[in-house]
Amino acid sequence: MRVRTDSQAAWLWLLQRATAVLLVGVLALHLWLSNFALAIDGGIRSLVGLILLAAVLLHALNGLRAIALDYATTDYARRFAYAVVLVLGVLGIIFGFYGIAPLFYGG
Amino acid sequence: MGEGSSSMNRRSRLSFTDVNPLHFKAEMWAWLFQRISGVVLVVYVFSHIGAISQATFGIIGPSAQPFDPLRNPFWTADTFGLGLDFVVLILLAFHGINGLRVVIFDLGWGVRMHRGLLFLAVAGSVVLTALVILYALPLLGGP
Repeated sequence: MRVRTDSQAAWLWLLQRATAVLLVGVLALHLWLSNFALAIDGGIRSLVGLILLAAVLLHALNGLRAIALDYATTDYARRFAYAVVLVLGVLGIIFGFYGIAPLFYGG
Repeated sequence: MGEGSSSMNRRSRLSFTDVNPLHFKAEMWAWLFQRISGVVLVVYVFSHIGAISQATFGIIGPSAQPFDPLRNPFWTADTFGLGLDFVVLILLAFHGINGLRVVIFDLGWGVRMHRGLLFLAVAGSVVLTALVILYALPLLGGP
């Protein structure tokens, strides 16, 4: 019996674990910064914001992709799922960057 | 080999997932709630990103005006908005703690205690959310 390996899926699985553990810490930092540490300056806020945005988008969209692949049985459906996830990612990056932009110049 | 493969076929036909919720065991519920909470949190995250960029638009956009958090649909201080916030919070707590549980299983730790760890994850997320609600409600002018 031959064991099939899919290195792309394996890396995405590892990415999901890595971002999961990262998010537990960064989300705690995010909640603390936005509710309890209002005096902390914009440099740290923007750094945490950027890491959070990247980690959240990777984790969320990789998760959506995994769910979609559980139900998408045809090649067309799989490509459609990838396209939706990609569009959501681009939108998330644009709106997310715009959202945290004021932090970079202390707005 | 022929006999073996036919018995394999019969076994795989009989081992399809039982989708009757009355037959679900703890780990199936954990998987299901992890998935449901994940989807809800993705919806929340995108509305959160939208709300934050909307707030920025109010600060530096062409129609710049002081940003009033209470006017933002995602930061309403009424009971319904607060309730939604607490729902997101408990989903986030469960998804995070249960996710860590799954990650330690992947590392080979604690698989034998998976049931107990699941109850610990549920209890932990309920207690964490309850603590935040008890701490936050007086600050928000609630009961």
